[in-house]
Amino acid sequence: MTDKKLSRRGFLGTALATSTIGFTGIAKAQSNQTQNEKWDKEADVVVLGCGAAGLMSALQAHDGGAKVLIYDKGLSPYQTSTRLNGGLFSACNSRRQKEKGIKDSPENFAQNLMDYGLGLCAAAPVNTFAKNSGQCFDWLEDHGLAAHDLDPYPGHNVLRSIRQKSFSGVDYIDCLTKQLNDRGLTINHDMPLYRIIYDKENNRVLGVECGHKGKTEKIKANKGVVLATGGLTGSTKSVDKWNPLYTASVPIGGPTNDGQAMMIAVRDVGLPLTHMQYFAAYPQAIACGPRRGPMLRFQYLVANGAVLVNKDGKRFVKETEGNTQITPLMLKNPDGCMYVLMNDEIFEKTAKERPFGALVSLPQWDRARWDKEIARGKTIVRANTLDELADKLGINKEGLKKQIQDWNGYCSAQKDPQFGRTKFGIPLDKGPYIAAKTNIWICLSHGGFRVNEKLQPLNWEDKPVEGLYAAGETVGGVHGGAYLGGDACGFAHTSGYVVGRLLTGKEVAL
Amino acid sequence: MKLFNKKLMFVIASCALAFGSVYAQNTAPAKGSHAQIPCTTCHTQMTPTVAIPTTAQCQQCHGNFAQLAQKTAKLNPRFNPHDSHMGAVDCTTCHAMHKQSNLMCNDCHGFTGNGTEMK
Repeated sequence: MTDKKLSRRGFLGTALATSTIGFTGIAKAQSNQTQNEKWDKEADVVVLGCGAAGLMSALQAHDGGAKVLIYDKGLSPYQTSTRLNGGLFSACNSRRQKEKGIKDSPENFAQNLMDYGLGLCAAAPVNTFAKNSGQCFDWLEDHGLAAHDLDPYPGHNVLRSIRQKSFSGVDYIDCLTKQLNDRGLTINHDMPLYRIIYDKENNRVLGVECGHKGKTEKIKANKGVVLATGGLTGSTKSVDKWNPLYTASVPIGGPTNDGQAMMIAVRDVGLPLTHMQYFAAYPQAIACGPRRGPMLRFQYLVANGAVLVNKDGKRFVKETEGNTQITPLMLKNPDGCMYVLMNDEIFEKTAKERPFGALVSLPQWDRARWDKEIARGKTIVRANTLDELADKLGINKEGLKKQIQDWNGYCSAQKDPQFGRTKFGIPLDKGPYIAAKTNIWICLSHGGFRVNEKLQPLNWEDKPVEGLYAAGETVGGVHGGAYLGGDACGFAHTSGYVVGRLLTGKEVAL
Repeated sequence: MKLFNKKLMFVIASCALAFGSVYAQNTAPAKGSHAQIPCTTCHTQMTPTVAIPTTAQCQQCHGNFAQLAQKTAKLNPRFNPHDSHMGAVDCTTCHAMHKQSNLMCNDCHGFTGNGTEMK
């Protein structure tokens, strides 16, 4: 594309063709600053990122007739946060829900999100998510998504989260990449966003420059650029930068999820960011290495009788509480950690109920790896008596023994005066005992751009930037101040679905 | 007096480093073939605060990530430690010359077999 083709007439033509996507103002001639750009490539839609949000937007835009080009900083869609997902998608009015006769509404879903998110959710993207999530999930189901079923999740007041049988986000990437291949679409890897070419005078993004310094490509985007570059959980540095409370956490994420693309949008388009200090912080990392380790789904152990105690040996929460709501309470414990306490009977029963990879996951463990960690004796310990167990983990012995004695009393009475837990399971009246020490585990950042309901980022004066869309983790505030399960995966796919359709004039619920 | 002390310390440290590192007195000697080469091959910056060799330093002898990935491509069917989703990891994250090395992959994963028991 040469600068000749970007004449005033050409630009107006583009504006008219895209009027369905909200290009309402009368386009002025391009400013001097941007009219001399020499483009290497041209497409209708340029997608940045290849997780669920990026791939879904690319597929929808392609199916709507757009020419799509995809650029990605990493080396594979299997290295994105979507791959690291636990295979849980929350959707409202999905076919699955309807088949089971479950009554749900976008308003109800949005309210659940808002309540769980401490009232801090951004309404616009939440509404768009709630209204389109069911249709989006049905699309995945119609396009070969591996086996799944509805699974209850604390915080959702109806059955709406859909769990992959595999407990793994690999299913979504398998599905999306197959669809990509079927359409002959490819991803340009190792091509990070380098610059956004923004016509400030007309408040419109014209294209992007991707690649490495001295070796970049300039791509013109006739209809729009989709920023689906992911969040901040790829490195300890990018988490620590925004939240000092989480500097001992175990962040997992695609290795390229360092927030760089968002900062480039701040630099080049002047976009403000919101919710940057908030993360999905689960109280369940087994920190086997320095700020590295898998996630223990302690809820399954709790369902069979496990309790959560702190270094003083005391319970500090109703164990059946939503897990991200346990996090702030865990942070107040003497060492900022908690100890999942069970006995052999509870553990063996739980291990038999579901695949071991569902109990310790992301990445999935087998029993041998669990036993090896017990042999190391650093994060998971096993002992015949509570005294011995407390010694091994440095927990207050007397405190622990008193607490467990009390707890066993609550089990007999089926009443928990301490925290009001109503499900008790197997009492902790005989050993051997097992305890796993857990830290904060982070897989999602809440921070990103402020957007309108069409997922267009808002600029410094709250006006949507034309020619630019955000999808997935780059959208700020969807999860407010606390993360409700299944919504990140659901939002990633749904936001991509919505943006891809909006860019090609297809109907979406707004 | 303070200045003199600093200078003196520097001279003592320099001498000690020249004849076998002061650190070496407190740590195990380097393992394997690394025991045969001078400390300064890896520890090029001989100041007390910068002791850990950089990845670039290691790669001068051992080759870049692409070459290393090729060498370990058939090590284990489940993973290639030099071609992982973590990208260009610092060599010293896994490899240690004066103590037990640790495969960082297995801080999270549960890989077994070749390449998982590092010396």
